[in-house]
Amino acid sequence: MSMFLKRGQEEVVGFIAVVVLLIIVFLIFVSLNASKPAEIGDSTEISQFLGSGFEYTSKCALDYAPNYLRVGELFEACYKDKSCISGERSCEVLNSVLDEMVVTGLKIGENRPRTGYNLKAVYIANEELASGEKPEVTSLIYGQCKFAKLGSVKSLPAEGGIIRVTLEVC
Amino acid sequence: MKNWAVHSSRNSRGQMKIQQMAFVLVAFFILFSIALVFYFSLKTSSLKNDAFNIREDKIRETVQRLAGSPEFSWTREDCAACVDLDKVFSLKSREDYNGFWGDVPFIQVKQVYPVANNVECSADNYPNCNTITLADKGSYVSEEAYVALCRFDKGEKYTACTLGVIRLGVKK
Repeated sequence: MSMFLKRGQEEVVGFIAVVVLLIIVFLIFVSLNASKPAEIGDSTEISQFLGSGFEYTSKCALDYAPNYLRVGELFEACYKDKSCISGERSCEVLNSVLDEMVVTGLKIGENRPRTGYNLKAVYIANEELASGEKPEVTSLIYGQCKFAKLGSVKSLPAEGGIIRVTLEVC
Repeated sequence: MKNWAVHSSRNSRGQMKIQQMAFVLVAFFILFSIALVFYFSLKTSSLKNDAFNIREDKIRETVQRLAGSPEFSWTREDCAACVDLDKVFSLKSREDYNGFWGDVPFIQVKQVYPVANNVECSADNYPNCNTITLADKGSYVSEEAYVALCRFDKGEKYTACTLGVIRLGVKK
């Protein structure tokens, strides 16, 4: 009789061990899925923001006033490290305008719907469109952006290639 | 008699084993069902989120198409997302356009950057204002799309564009 009881207990212990093992595997699976950052799709809102933002007229003119550059043109001027007639570097004007525009336009900040953004612009020469070097034009980071929620990529024409601008917002 | 007792004992043990297996199978089935229900409820909630985002995107695209309409479009340069602010402001005061927007309860053009005081444009303060409201009636839910607001600066004689939004109201 006691042998039967022992065997019964062994069976139950084995069953519970299998159940516990399955629960652990399931929890690991769920936590891995949850922690995987979602892919950043092409957000219509961010795409419209970038397209409209590139038309913003800055206070930087390279040759004469009032031939001011649009933000979309400032990227190429920054890549070539040109200076405005006011004496400011085009990159300084570009970074300042972009930072203010993104923070104000997309409502980013503490106690606001969004907490941060990553903006990066790289130059891609025509012959290196598929692969190869992509020198950075500018890079701006604001706030804590562990897993970006929205993003978009826009390309601007530049001499001998394109400038690819990526904006991710979280 | 002895054979019958042994045979009977073996049958009982076999039945016990089959019962044990049946209980184990039932338990596993219940466990996997609970896991599947949990998994599908997570997936369904993400689907609802995706559907909501797609609907919002479609509305934004529709709103931005207003920028391409003859009443809003900036024709000095090739720019699909640009709105002629002077044209929009003149629409506000034209009596011909009273009722033009039909049942649309709310249309507004607003400058977002550079930041300015929230002032409705009028003949007295244009262009030192940031909002032009073409229609505002009834109750609605509004959606907005980013556009560039462009105008010709007569003082410095150049075209200047700022970042703004077109807001369109939809009846509740």
